[in-house]
This record gives sequence, C-alpha cells and structure tokens, in this order.
Amino acid sequence: MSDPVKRRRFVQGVSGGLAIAVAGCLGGNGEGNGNGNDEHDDHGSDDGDHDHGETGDGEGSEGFAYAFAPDAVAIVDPDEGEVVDVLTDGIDGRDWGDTQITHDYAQIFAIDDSLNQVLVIDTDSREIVSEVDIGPGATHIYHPNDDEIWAHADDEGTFYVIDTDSHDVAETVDAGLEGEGHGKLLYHEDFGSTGYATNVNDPAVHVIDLEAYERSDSIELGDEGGTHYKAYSPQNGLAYFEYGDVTAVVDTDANEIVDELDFSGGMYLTPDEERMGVLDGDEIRVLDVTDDDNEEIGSISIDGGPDALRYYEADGTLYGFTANTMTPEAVVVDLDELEEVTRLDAGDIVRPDDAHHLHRSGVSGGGYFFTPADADGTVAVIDMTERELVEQVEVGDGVDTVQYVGDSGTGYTGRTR
Amino acid sequence: MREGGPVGRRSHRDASKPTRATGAIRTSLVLVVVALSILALASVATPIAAHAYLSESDPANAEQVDELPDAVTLSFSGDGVQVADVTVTDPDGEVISGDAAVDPDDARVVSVPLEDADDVEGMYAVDWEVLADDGHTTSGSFFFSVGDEPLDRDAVLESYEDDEGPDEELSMLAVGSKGLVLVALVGLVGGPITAAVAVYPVVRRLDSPARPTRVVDRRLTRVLAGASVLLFASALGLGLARAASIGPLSIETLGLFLETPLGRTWLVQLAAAIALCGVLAAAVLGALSRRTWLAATAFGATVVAVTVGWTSHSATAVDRLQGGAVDVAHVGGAGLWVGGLVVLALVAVPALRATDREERTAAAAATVRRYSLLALSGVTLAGATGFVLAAWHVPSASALADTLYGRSLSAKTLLVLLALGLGGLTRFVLLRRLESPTGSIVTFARTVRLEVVVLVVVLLLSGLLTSAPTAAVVGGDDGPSTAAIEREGDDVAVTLLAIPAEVRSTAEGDDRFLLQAEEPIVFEVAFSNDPGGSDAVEATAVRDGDLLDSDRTVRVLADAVNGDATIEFELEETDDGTYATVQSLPDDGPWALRVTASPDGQFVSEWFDATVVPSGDYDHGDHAVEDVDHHDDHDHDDHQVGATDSPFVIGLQFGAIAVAVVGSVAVVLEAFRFGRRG
Repeated sequence: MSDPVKRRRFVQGVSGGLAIAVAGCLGGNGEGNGNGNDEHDDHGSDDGDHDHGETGDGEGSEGFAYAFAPDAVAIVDPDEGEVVDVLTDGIDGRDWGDTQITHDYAQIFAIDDSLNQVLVIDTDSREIVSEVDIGPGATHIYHPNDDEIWAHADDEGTFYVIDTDSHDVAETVDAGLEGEGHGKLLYHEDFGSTGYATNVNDPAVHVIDLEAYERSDSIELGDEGGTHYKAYSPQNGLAYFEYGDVTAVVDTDANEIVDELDFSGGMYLTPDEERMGVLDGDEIRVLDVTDDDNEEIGSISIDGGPDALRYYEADGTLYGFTANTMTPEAVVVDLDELEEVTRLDAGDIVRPDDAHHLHRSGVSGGGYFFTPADADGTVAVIDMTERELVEQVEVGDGVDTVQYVGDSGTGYTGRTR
Repeated sequence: MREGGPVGRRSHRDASKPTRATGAIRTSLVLVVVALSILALASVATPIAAHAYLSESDPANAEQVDELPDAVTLSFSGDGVQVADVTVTDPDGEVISGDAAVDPDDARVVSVPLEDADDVEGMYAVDWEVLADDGHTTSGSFFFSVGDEPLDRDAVLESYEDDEGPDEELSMLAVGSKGLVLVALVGLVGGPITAAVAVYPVVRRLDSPARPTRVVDRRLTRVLAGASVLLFASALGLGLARAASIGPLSIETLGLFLETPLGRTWLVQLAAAIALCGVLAAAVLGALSRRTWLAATAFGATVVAVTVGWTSHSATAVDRLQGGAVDVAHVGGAGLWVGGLVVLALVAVPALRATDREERTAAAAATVRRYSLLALSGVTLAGATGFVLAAWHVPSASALADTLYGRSLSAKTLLVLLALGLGGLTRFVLLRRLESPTGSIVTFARTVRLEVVVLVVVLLLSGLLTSAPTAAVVGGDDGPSTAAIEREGDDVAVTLLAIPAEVRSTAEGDDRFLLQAEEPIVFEVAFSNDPGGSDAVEATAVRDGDLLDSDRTVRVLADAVNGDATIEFELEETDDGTYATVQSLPDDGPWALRVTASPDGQFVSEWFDATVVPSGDYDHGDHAVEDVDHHDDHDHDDHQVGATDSPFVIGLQFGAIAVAVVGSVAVVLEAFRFGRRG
C-alpha cells in the first residue's frame, strides 16, 4: 500500500469547479488539521520523477509554512516573507487535497487526488518520503491519534487509516451508508475512542469506533439530505453537525440530538473555546458555546464571500481573519466588537464558471495568517499582531494549500486535533 | 585439362582473344549486376507505404458513438479493393447493412449504408470480406458501439475471437494454378535466354553427325511449347479460381470479375499465353526462324511476368510500380536460374548424349560454365529481391513460424538452400570431373535433374506463398493473446490479466505489459491467498484457483508516465470470480497501472508497468520495450504503420544488400574467369 517514492507519474487535471461543487464546503472544518484547507479547487497536469533527497537540506521546517502548488511545494519563511526552499522532484501536476501535520510536526501527510495517494513529507529533511495509495476522491485528512492518519475517500465513503510510522494502510473504515459521499471526521480527546463522521449522502451522523475501525452506530437526523460541517465545544460537551439548512446539536455523552440551530455553515471554535463562529453565507454568526443554550451573541456581515476563519488575540482583543472567495482580500474582524476592522490584499483565486461553491483556505501559525491565491500563484503572509500584509510570496500557479509547521492553533486549542 | 575435342581446341586457340559471344555475355552480365544492385538498393532504401488490410474505419474499431451513423466506411491500405462484402449486425442480431460499394474515386474506400434502425444502443458487429487487387480475398471483423455503456467484456472477447484477420484458408485450385503459372513462367523466361547464351553457342561448334543443334531446336521448342500450354491452362485456372471468390462460378460471376482491373489483367495474361502457344506451335512446326521464336518467347513471357507482378502482394501492398518491378525481377532471376536449369536438364543433356563421348564432356563443361554465369546472376537477382520481398511482407521472426506465409517462405528458403548446394556441387565438383579425362555426363545429368525437381517444388511453394495473405497482414495472431503479471502481497496475490497483450521483460528483468494504443483491452484482476506461486500466472490457472472476493470496488488507475492522461476505471465481478472491464489506453509510451481493492477485507494496492505501442504497431512484435519507453517525446500522431522497422526487418534489408553486393562480385569474378578461359 505504501509506495516507496520511485515512480514517474503523470497527472491529468480536471476542472477546478467540479471538485469545489462536489466538496460543497464553504469553510474550514474548524476542528482540524492545521491547514484550514478542507476543499480544493486546483487541478493541473504534468509528470514527474520522484527522485527525492536532492532538495532537502535537512535544516528542519519549524516555523515555516509549506505551500502546495501542482508542480512544486514551496517552504515559506513568514518572518522574511520569502521562499527558503522548494520541493519539485516528483511533484508535477498534483491535485492537492487536505494536508495534515503529525502531532510532533515531524511529518506532513498531503492528499493528492490525481493519483489517489497521500504523500508523506519529512519536515526535517524536507523530502517526500513515501506515497501511500488510498481510495479515490479523497479530500479531508485527520490525525485522531498519534499513530494514525485518517484520510476520507469520498468516492467510497471510506476512511483509510494510515500508520504514521510504516506509512501502510493499516485499516479501512466504511463510514458512509451508501459506499460513497464526501465526508469528515470529528474527534476530540473528550470522546475517547469514539469519533463522529459526517457524509453528504447520509441524513445521519455516524459514530465511529476508532479502535475497532468500524461504524458502530448512526444518529439519525432525518429521512433525506446529508451531513457536512462539524464542530465540538468542550465547554458544553456538545457536537454540532451541519444538516442541510440547519445545524443539529448532539450530546456526545448520550449520542442524542438535543437541539437544532436554524442556520448552518462552517464552524470555528475560538481558542478560549467559549465562542464559535458559524460562516452562514456572508455572515459570521457568533455563538456562546459555554452552555447548552447556544445563544447567538451577534453577527458580523462580511462582503466578498468569507471563508476559513482563524483567530488571534492581540492587545486584549480577539480578532478573526478570513480569506474572501469573491474578492482578492483577507478581512480582519473584531470578535469582541463584532465589526470589520480592515481588509488586506491577499491575491486572487480561480473562479471557474461552473463552480457552485468557491473555497479559499486560510491557515494560522506563529502569529501569521496564510492564504493562497491560486490564480496569482502567491501566498499572502499576514502579520496577525499588526494586522498587515507581510508579503505576497510567489510560489507557483495553482498554489491552493498551506500547512504551517508548528502550533497553528488548529482547532483553536493549540493542538493538532 | 586435356585439350581433346573441338571445343577444347577452340577454347585454347582463342584464349587470348575472347569471342564475340563471350564479350557479349560479359557485357550483359555486368549490366545485370549493375541493374540488380540499383534495384536492390532502391528497394531497400524505400520504406513500405502500406499493407493490404483494413487500415481504418468510421466508426473505428471499438469506437463509441452517440447515434447510429448512416453508413460505415472502411478504408483499406494498398492499392484498392475489387469487390467488397460488408455485413453490419445490430445488438439484436439483425443485419442492418445494405450493399457495400467501392468508392469510384478511391478504390481503397468501401462504404456500406445502414438502414434506418431504431438506433439500438449496444455493440454493432461489422464483418467484411474483400477481393483485393492482388486477387486475394481478405476478411475480418470489428465492432463499434452506440451509446455510452461500457463495452461488455465477453462481447469484446468474442469479437477478438472472431477477428482472426485475413482468411488463411486458400483455394487449392488457386494455389495449384499459381504454382504452375510460376513453373511455366520461369521456364519461358529463362529457357530462351539460357538457350541463346549457354546452349546454342556450344552445340553450334560441335561437329557431330547427330546434328545436336537440330536436336536442341526440336527439344527446346517442344519444352517451351509445353510450358506455354501449361501457362495458359494454369492462368485460366487461376482466373477462374479468383472469379469464384466473388460468388458461385457462372457467366455472371465471370462477367463481374472481368469488369474489375484484376479481371482485365487476367485477360491480358491469357492473351499473352495464347500468343506464346501460337508462336511456339509455329516453332515446333518449323515455320519460324530460331531467332524469331526465341525472341518472341522471351517477350511473351516477360509480358506475362509483368501481369503477375502487377497483381502481386508487393504491387498492391507496397507500391504498384516499385513492388511490381521487384516482383518481376524476382521472377526474372528465378527464370535465369531455374529456367536455364530446365533447359540444361531437358534439352542440353539429351542433345549432348547424341555426340561422341569426348565432345560430350567438353561441351557439357562449356555449357555449364556459360550457364553458371547466368545462374549466378539469376541467384543474385532472385536472392536480393527475395530478401526485399521478405522485408516487406514478414515483419518479425516469429511470423516465419506463426503464419502460413511465413512457414511457406521458410520451407521455400530451405529448399532454395538445398538447390544452391546442388548447384555448387555441379559448378565446383562435377564441372571439374567433366573436364577431367575420365569425366562422365551421367552424374552431372542426375544432379541437374535433382536440382530441377527441388526447384520445381520451390516454385510450387511459391504458388502457395503468393496466394496466402502475407505475414504482415496476418500478423501471426491466432486470436487475442492473454498476458498476466502477478504481484505478491503479504497475504494476497494480485494478478492482472490483459487481453490482447503480451508480457515483455525489461533489461532489469521486470515484467511489463505490451499493449496497443486505442485498442479495447480487457483488463481482468484476480485475487488469491496463495502468494508464492509462479511468477507468470496463466489465465487458466487464475480461473481455476481459489479466488477471493473484494469487499470494495476493484479499480484500476492507469497513469501515462510521460503522457498527459490518467484514467481510472472500475471493474465488474465476473462469473469466474475475477473482476474485469474493457478499457483502451489513448497514448503510446510507458504507463503505470495500479489495482486497488479489498480482497477479504484487506486493502491492497499493486502497481504494474505497461508499454503501450502506437495503434497498428502491435503486430510488429519485435518492438523493444525499452525503445518505446525511451521515446518520451514520441508523437504517435505522426507515426506511420511500419515506419519503425523491427530489427528482423532491418536484418532482411541488410541481407538484400549483402546478397546484391556479394552476388555482384561473384558474377564479375565468374565473368572475368570465363573471359580468361575464352
């Protein structure tokens, strides 16, 4: 299953809009993987010879951001706003999905949908060390425990569990009821050996036994439709699942539905775990998630299609950073005053004519906010403290995914999951 | 050598001054050698332009079209189709095609209208049979599909089973007639020349009461007259056999045949044969001078040889002029060798028997020396052109054994080598004995007769050879070949089969599939829990083994390593317990094929390597895998079938040059030696 990197591969791209439409995601999962990149709309084609070891200088990657373009992976130093290294061997025409860094920041697992693989990058040597074959249509990738990476193959509705040491597919977990469907995994240490899986084809939240590698139960939400975004608030012990136009609230102790919010979208928990922003179209609804009431504190309207909300606290104020999909901008909002603070140049993304939903990833780490602009081939590096643009770093056409090496505040608890 | 008889004395007297005849021989032989070299080199240097088989069609083989077209068009390589019969059958088994018509502006294009059917979705089978310009019937079949449903594996396999290429079943009447035509023809071509150059100059000098010149006249006219009658009869039989390939032999069929260019050529052939019969009948009766009937016979035989060359494999499959010229040259070379030998056996030897012993052996030796010059020229010409023809029509060494054409050629070659051995024995051993004081004509006569018998068999085999579809057309393919490569995992062995395909080993010893671009390929995957078996798992073994079911969809991801395509396709479970689908790979070059599945719940992913050769190159089986892999920038769109010759073909081309050069040198040396002897 793990393919030592040795082959020359070619990848044929497909239209960007298709992947976006299939993914149907408007924002990051707010839970997860440190790249804030849950859906991908890049596609390209070319071939390459996976002859690694020439690009890595063994200087490590801590504090740097890996920017993934179809034909290159650039390592960006955010302090200097420049590329310090580029991985090109074996990277031609890749079609990146999510990336996931391991708990020790030693490895980055990156989905390549062009060949249904997960590439493993050693962050110390800066080399691609393995290609792991998985099922088709993978988009999202998770790291529910130190030893495993879970990649969801949407075309099969199945998680492929990859051993982080051997890089073998150790198990497969059929999560979807219909054997297909775009899916996500919700995991938190409060759940123990349980996880929750969503699937856009299933009107249910699936309870996954992470140790038995099986779907142990399903929480029925209705007769039709499917589930998508998910989030968890440790303070009230409730999990939130997007289900059509509403958000189902589930008690994770009893696995029962306890509430339903009449809006839905991508959900992003604040670092103090007291508030959660829900991206409902052009509006960020801010909820109090410290108790069962899920009171809406207020909302902020952002013009330009916000996506991928990240937080940063400075001068006693909690700021939110989001990347717009319809304008070449990043927007900074004040979560305390519930108002827009400023807009910064962030470069433009590709907007295919046939795309129903647009996505733009955003990643935070080391006090910086990163958002790729695949149309411009740049990655915007924004100083979150000063709330100003450091640089739009040239990476390469189609760059659409960024992974920070270090504490990225992912899940907004300071951990990788 | 004792200078005993008149011939020997004449030779001794004129040793320092070549006779006029000797000078003419030398000059003519030099001209033959020069012409031979030019012909051989020109023929070798020019690549073949086509083969006589279906080159493309609309819809193409295995093409999926949205709607049923109004007509199916078949385009043939070569110089044209005389008569075509095309049947199109819809998915329900109903014949929906009308009468096939050959395009009046381009005889290589045949179209058949389709009835206004219900546009049924599914596979449509096209069976075709044509009478080509070379008088041979070729047939085949292909299919296309309407709608976007994946091609059915079993239907595709059945189609491949049916598509055996040109029919190798031959009409024995046609084969026998063609063989006899060639036997008669080489006699009529070589006989007059050998008589004029090697026999008459010798027997004219004999001062014998037996009047050997008259004996030669009488016997030669009768032999040639017999040959002309044989030519007429066999040509008649050949034409009737070809006409019968259109339909049951009748006046109507014959009329239809005569309307074709092939039929008209046949008429010319018959007319020339009749004229030859008339001339030689007159010669037998003594109504014509020797010079007249000799010249007329040579001319008439040449006309017939041209008609044979005009309708040969080479003329129709390569180039009408070039191919025909090489074929005529081949017949001419054989005529000099075989026809001359027949004259020696049936005319010269009996004539010499009527002389006294001393004269007889000396005259026989002189005749052999003169004939050797002709025979050497003929062998060189026939050998060089034979190599050229083989290079055109036999694409690979394996085709020599796999096809009727190849087997016939192999047998012919062996017999020719035997005949050459006998010829060498005559020239270098028996000739010396003839020239010795105790020389005897008996052994010489027997050896010559044996050589004649061998060469007549060679000519009859040539009849079979020129009647069978060439190896390039048949391709040595008896049906779809199955290739299988096994990958062993920890607990599960994954076997990928491809049909049609071959397995080739790289220089590193790795197995990889050899596939043809744009051809529907049946991919079949089998899972077993018996790792450690044979590296080359045969399809039957796989099907007979205990196979595992996959818990999830079995998929193949095909990735063009240097190309611009990645294709993923799903496989359906078959009744055999394997998983299969039909898929074509669009681009030539190296590909990586990955199989993913979960046999017994265990996820497996195995990679297989493949080399895809351009469409039409698959039958040229000597493609080196590495050659294809290393042509990263290979533009298959510009690829012409046959443009890349196999090492075997290149070897044949060099063989043609070598025979031409070595033979020319030998002829020059022989002529020089002959001139010195006077």
